[in-house]
Amino acid sequence: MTLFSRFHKFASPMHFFDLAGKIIPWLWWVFVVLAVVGLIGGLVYAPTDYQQGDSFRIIYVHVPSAWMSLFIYMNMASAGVVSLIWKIKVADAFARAAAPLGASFTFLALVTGSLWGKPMWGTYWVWDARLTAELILLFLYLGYIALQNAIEDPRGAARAGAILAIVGTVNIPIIHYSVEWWNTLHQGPTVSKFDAPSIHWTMLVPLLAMTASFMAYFGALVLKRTQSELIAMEPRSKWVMERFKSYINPTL
Amino acid sequence: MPLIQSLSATVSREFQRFSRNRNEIVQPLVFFGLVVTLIALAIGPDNENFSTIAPAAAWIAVVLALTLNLNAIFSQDHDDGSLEQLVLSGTPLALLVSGKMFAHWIAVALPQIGSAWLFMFIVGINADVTYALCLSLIFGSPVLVCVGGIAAALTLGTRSSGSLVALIALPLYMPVLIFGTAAAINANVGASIAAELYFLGGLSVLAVTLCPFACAAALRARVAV
Repeated sequence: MTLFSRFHKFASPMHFFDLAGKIIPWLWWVFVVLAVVGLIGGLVYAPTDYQQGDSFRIIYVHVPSAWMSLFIYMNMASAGVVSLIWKIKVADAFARAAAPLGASFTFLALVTGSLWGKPMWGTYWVWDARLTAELILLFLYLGYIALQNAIEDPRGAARAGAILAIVGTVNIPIIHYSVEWWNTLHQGPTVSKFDAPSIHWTMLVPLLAMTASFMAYFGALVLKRTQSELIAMEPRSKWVMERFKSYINPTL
Repeated sequence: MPLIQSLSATVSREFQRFSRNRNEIVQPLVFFGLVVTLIALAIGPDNENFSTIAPAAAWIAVVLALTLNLNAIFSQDHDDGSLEQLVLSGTPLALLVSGKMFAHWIAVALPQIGSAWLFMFIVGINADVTYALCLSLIFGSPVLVCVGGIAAALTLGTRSSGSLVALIALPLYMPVLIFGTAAAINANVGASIAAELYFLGGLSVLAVTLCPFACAAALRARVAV
């Protein structure tokens, strides 16, 4: 019972707003520290790849953003499930706030991938399986954002967005394997084999640090954006008025 | 069985609607013809690869023509208010939705497959490739209608819903397009097309069983607010 009531307290916009305000500065610190560690480790200490030379170093941005692009979509779908089952406003605000960030990470993964592809494959774009799947993921994000923009009523937009995110999540593995079937050129996974990754630890540690720093960066931004979505959802509510008293012009 | 009765009533009502408004059947066919003509004009008259491009062109034309017409599944019912009655009727909405999708598949998707066959026949593609294309369309088009139905339901009543429905549906169509055209490519080199057809059939079963529920949820979200 106490767990359930705590859950409900956390789910109320007011408490979430305050909690997010406390967490955000910590996430910024985690992001800065880990990004410095990851960048110095990746750009200075990691050895040069014997085949790819120094151009492999773009993986310290590329791989974390590619992971984030899927991770954020899963977050949006989970928020969608929470929103549809428990009708929690915070989940709606979170999904809305996360979508443009996910689209940006997907775009970043595509751009860094094609910049790496130019020296490696001799062309900015090849119709490789994982690149194409990532491109389709970008289209899924853009469709979600377009749907959000087209529906004016926030509650209706949230419900439609939740359904679309869930449908998209069911489709992501299908898209992934069908595109894999269609064509593959991309190098095989090097990190996901947990028992013996085929990547040296001096390269792996900065990669994991960068991934964690990207997570913290996403966390800080998404909480900030969720806060603004919550204010936009109920601008006249008492808790918003209380927190922004100093900004409200008393003469009006 | 009241459920089967309401299903058959929905299907026959849809057919009645199509028979009174034949534009909805004819327009996608004209659109199909326009798209294949555009593709033929773009690749040139004496392209020796035309026999490999033609099945892809037919698939793209079918996908675009069906996408263009997705709004028709619900928009009329939405405009005259009968959709709200369907939602409120107490009959499982997913059942009524699958009835509407089935009627849409018969009235809009099947003629597309016929016109794809006609196109292949006229431009002189060999019978094996034509056969593979038509089979892949039969196995794949239920996915197009069912997944597209979700997109149509989600965008119901929004401004500029025509381009929005394409924006949402087309990324979800890509797996179907991949396997559909792969079947025709395999047939072109004399290889087996069984694997692609199994995959398309599997996707169709998945779409036919799951999509009506997602579509019903989307309709409730768009109507009940």
